[in-house]
Amino acid sequence: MSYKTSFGFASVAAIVIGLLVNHIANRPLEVPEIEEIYWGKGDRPLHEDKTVRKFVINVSDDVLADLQHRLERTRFPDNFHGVHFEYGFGLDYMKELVSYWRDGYNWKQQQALLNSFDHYKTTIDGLEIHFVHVKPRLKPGQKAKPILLAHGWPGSFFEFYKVIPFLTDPLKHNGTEDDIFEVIVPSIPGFGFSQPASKPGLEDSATAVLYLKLMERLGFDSYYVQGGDHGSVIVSVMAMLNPRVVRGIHLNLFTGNTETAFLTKLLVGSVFPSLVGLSTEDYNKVYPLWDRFLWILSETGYLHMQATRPHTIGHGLVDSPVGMAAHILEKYSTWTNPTFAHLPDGGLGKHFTKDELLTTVMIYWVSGTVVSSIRLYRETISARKFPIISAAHSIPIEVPSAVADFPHEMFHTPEPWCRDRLRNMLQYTTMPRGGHFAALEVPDLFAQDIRDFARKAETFHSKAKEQS
Amino acid sequence: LSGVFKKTPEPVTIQDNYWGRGAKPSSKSKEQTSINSFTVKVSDADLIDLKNRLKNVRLFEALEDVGFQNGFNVDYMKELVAYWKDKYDWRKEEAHLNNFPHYKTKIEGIDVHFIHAKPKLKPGQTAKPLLIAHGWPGSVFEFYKIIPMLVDPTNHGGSEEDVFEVIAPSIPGFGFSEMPHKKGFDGLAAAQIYLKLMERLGFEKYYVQGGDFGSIVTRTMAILKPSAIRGLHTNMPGVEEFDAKHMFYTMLGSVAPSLAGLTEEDYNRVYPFSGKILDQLQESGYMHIQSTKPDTVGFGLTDSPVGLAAYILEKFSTATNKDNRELADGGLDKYFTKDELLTNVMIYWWSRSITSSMRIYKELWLGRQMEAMSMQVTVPAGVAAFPNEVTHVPESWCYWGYPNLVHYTMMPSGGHFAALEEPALLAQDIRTFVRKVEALEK
Repeated sequence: MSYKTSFGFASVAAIVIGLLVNHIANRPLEVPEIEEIYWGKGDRPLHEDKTVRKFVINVSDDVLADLQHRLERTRFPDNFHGVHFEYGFGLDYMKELVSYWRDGYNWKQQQALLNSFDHYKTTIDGLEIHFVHVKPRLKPGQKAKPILLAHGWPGSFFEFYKVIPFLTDPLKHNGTEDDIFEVIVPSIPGFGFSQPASKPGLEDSATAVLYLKLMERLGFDSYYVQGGDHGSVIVSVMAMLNPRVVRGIHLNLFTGNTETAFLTKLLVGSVFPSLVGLSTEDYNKVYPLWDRFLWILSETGYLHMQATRPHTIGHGLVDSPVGMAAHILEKYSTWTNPTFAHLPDGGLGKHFTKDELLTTVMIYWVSGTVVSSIRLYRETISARKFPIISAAHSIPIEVPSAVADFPHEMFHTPEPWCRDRLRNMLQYTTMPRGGHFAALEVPDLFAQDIRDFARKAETFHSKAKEQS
Repeated sequence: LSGVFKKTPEPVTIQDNYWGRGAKPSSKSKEQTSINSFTVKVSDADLIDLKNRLKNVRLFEALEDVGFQNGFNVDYMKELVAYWKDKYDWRKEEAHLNNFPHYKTKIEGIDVHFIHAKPKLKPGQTAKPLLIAHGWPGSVFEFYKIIPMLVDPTNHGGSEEDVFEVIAPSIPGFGFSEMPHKKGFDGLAAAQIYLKLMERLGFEKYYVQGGDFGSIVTRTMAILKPSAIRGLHTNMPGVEEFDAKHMFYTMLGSVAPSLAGLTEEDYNRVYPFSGKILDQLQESGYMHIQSTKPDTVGFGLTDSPVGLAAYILEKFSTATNKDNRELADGGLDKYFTKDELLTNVMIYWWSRSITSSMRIYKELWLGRQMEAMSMQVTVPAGVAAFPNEVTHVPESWCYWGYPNLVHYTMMPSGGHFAALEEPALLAQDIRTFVRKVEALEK
C-alpha cells in the first residue's frame, strides 16, 4: 500500500472517531446568543447617527494616477513553459490583462456604470454600511418584493449588476409583471465601500446582524434574501436569527451541515448511494471522496493563509495592483470551471469581460479593503465564533427556501441532503451551466430561478395566511 | 507496523533532465562546461526604482495587532521601510556579498550560481571539500558568517585540521541561479545538479551540509550517489512525517517516552504533540499556497518589495522562535540585524526569483520526491538538533532515515536559520562530525 492509502486509512479512522465524539457531545440545537458589539473606533456614542445618506462613487485623480504609475512599473517574474493556470494565475495572460488595464481600461466609464444604480451609506453599530438600493418603477397598485442579495469573497455588490435589471425590470427581461423586485445589495464590512471593523470578531454571523438591522432601518419587515459563498452563510444566519422577517431564502451555495447525520451519510453514501437517497448523477458529483478532498486541498491554499496569517500575504496585495488582481481573479478562473486551468487565459475570457474583472479588482483597490476582506477568514475560525458558525450550519431553517445547484460550483449538495436542514425547501434546481460566480456568469438563469422560487414562496405565504 | 503499510519504492536514478528554454539540444552538440566568474552588480536604475517603490508604499491599518499573530506586523513594517529607504546601504551590502568569489556554470541547460571559498593552505595541508545547501526562504547569504569559520578555522575557535573548502550553490530558481524553465524541478532534480556541479569542480568525494530544503537536497544526493558523499550533516533531519511508524512512536512516546527512545529533553521538544499540530496548521498557510498556487502569490511578491519582505521575513520571525509571535517586532531585531534580513530579501528581489523559488513546493508533491524522502541515507550522518527548530527529531528516531548516524548534538540555543543565528555553534558541530567520520574511516 502506498503512503496515500495509509493516510486514507488514518483519515477514515479519524472521521469515525470524530463521529463518535460528536454524537456523544451533541446537545439539542438552540439559536445562540449573539452579543451586541460596537464595531467602530472607541466606545458606542450616546447618540448614534441613523440617517441614510446618498453616496456616489467618486475616486480621486490622485488614486488613479498612482495606480497608473504602478501599472506602468509592474515587475514580472521570468517565463515558465508548459503551464497555463495550473500553477496559479498565468503569467502570459496577466501581462495581457495589465496592458489592457494600463492602456485600455476606462475607470471613469466603469465608475459611471457603477453609479447607474443608487448607492447609499448608513452607520450601524459604528460602521458605515454601503449598499445599492434599486427601486423599480411601479404601476399603481403594483407591489415589488424586497430582496437582499448577499455577496461573498472575492466578490462584491458589482457581481449582481447584470441580475438587478432582470429583477427590477422583468418585462424587459423575459419576466412577467409579478416578477418585480426591489433590490438591496449591501457590501460586507471591510469590503469595497463598507467600512472595516475596528475591533476583532466581525465575521458572517456579525454581518448577518448588521444586515438585519439595515433592512429594519430601511423599513422592511418581510423580505427575501439571496446568497452565495459567504453570502449564503450570512443569509442563513439571518433566517436563523429572525425567521419572521425572512420571507424566503435562496442559496446558490449550500454546504449541508456539520452534524453527525450529514457526515454519516457522506461515508455510507460512498458505498451504498441509494441508501442515502443519491441518484447516479448525484453520486458522480459528490464522490470519489479522495479526489474531492485532493481538489479541495488544491484550491484552499488561500483560505489556509487568510485564516492564519492574513497580514503576511496582505502587504503584497495592497501595495501591488497586479498582486491583488492575481489573488482575486484566479478564483474567477478555477471556480467558474476547474478545467479552465488548462486554458491560456484561464478561461477568463469565456464568461467575463476584462472590464468586469478589472472593475471587481478596482473596487478592492480604490477602497484599500483587500486586507480587511481577507481578515474575514481569520475571524471565522476564532474560538469565540465557532459555536455560532456551527449553529448556523446545523439549525434547521423553516422559512421557504430554495437551492440553485450550479454544475461547476465548489460543492454539490444533493437535494435529499439539503432537506435535512432546509425543512421547507420549495425548489431545488439542477442548473444546466454555471459556476461559483453564477450571478455574473449566467444572470438570466440566476434571476429566473429567483423569480420561480418567489412565486412558490408567495403561494406558500398566501396559503399559510388563509389557514391561520 | 510499517512493514504492513509500506511497499518498498523503486530506486531513484539520475535522469536525463534539461531545464533550459526551448527544446533540449541534440546529444551531438557539445555541452558547455565553462565556469565563469560572476560579480553581483545591480544597476543604478534598479536602485532608484526600489527607492521609489519604498517611498510610495501602500500599507493598511492594523487591527489591535500586538505582535505577529496575524502575520507580519504592519506597524513594524513601517519601521523597516523607513530604515530600508533611508539607511540601508545596498552598495555596501553588494561589496560584502562580493567578498567571496562567485561563479556560474551551465548544467542541464541553466546557469547554476555558486560561491567557492578556498582556504589559504600551508604546504602539505589539504582542505576538506564541503557543499553547503540553503533552503527557502534563504539564500547563500545565510552562510556568510559561517564560511570564514570553516575556511579559516584557527582564527575562529578551530584547529588546523578543521579546514574546509566551501561550495555554496544557489538552488536553481533561487537568487542568482537561473530558474528551470520546465515543470518538474524538485529535490531530485536539484540534487542531481549539485552532484554534477561538484563533479565538474573536480570533487569525487566530499561532505554535504543542509537545513530546510537544503537538507532535502543533500539527503537526496546521498541517495542518488552515496559513493560521492563522505559524510552528511544536517540541522533539519528528514524523517517522513506521514509514516505509520513515526505516528505510532509519537503516540507511544506521549505516554511511555523511554519505550519510544526519548530522552527527557526530547520529550519536552516533541510534546505536547496536539499543540504542535495546531501550531503547524497555524504556520503552514504559506506551504499550502506554495504547494498549490505559487504563480498566483508570486505576482504581488515580485512587484512589491514590501510584500516580498513581509512574506519572507515572517519566517525569520516564527521559525527562529515560536514565542516571537507575541513580540511587536516579531523578535527580528532581537536575533538579526536589519541589514542581514534585508540583504536576504534583496537577493530574491533583484533576481525576481520568488515565484520560481516557491514552485519547488508544488513540484515536491508531483514527482517521486516524496518516495525518495522515505529512502534511507546510508552514508555517515550527523545531526545538530537546535531547540527552536520547527520540528524536533529525537536521536533514536533519526536512525530510521539515517541508519549510519554517527553524531547527534542537542544544541543549547538556536532555531531554523541556524547558520545565520548561531554560526559558531554550527561550525563547531560540523567540525566535530567530520572528525568522527574520518576517525571511523581509519
